Amino acid sequence: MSLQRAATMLICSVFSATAAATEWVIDNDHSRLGFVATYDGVGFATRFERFDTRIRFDPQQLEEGVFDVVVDITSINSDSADRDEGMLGLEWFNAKKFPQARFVSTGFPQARFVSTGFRQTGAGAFEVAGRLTIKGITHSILLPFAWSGVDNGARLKGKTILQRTDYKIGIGEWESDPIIGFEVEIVVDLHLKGKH
Amino acid sequence: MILGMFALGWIAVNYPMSPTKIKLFVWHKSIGITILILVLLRIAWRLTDRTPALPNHMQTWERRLAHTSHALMYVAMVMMPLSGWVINSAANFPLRLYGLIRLPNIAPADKALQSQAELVHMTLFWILVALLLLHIGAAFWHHLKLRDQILTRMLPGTTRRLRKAAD
Repeated sequence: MSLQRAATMLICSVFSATAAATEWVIDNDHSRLGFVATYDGVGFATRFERFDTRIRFDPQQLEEGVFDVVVDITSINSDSADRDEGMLGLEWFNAKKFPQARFVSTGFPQARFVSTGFRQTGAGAFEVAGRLTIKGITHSILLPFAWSGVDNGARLKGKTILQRTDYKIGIGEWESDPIIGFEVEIVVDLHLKGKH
Repeated sequence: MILGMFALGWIAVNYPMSPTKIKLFVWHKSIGITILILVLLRIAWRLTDRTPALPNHMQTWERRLAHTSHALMYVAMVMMPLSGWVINSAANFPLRLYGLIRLPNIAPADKALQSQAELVHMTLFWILVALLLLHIGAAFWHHLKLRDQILTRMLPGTTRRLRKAAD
């Protein structure tokens, strides 16, 4: 952990030396990061109350972009105390062992992974390729998102579908039983302000 | 049906967390709502149709006990699924009837409310067990000791037979 933090600090210092695309800070009160999963075929929305973001993004300078998001898994909230407790358990997120999920965009030089970075897909529509690590398992994912400037800030809205089993979320019988659906939709809606 | 639900509920609660446990609950909930609908239909029927009179040999206190216990059974049979529905709503779990019909939550997501509803559901279970034992015991008492028509007239087709005999 301390090694990871040291590496992150090193990377940050490398970044601050380069010409800056806009750095954004998150408006925690209006931002949401979470997922929609299914229970007996019926969707339930879950959000994480605590997550740290480092977002550097300028639609004109995609090559400078950085998304670095660390989610505190233990801050899970699906408006159901029983379910939240269950999801943090050994067979699901195993929060005791893996308290954080980390999404690092591949534009980030620390990432050792093959990158495709950011890509514009339409007017105000983009796609970020990244490596998502949950429970110590890393996979490349694509997150399409809409970027819009709103007064004095920006809004980032994105969605993508993951297979929970790719990250060993739901092991044992849950691995093969669809009562808790395999597909999980990641939902991101961030309100951002320019950093001063 | 109700006895089956007692067993299903008991097993589901004590089953270790697993897909099977969720499925047991899914069945428990679907059957529970079915019973609620059937009981409401039964109450509507009971209120609109005439009820066979109790035998003349029964004492006043026996009649009172019979009427009260019948009324309490109806109350318990309605409250039982309703309290279960409240548990499910307060726990914020989705509810689908046999995997087909989505039903709304009838209470806000609230852990304290969930615990209270669980206590009600459990208490009603024991009350219903006691009422059913009283009901079944009384039916056999009438049949074996008093040798009246109370038990046999509960069987399907009896009313038709009795009406025919009276004609």
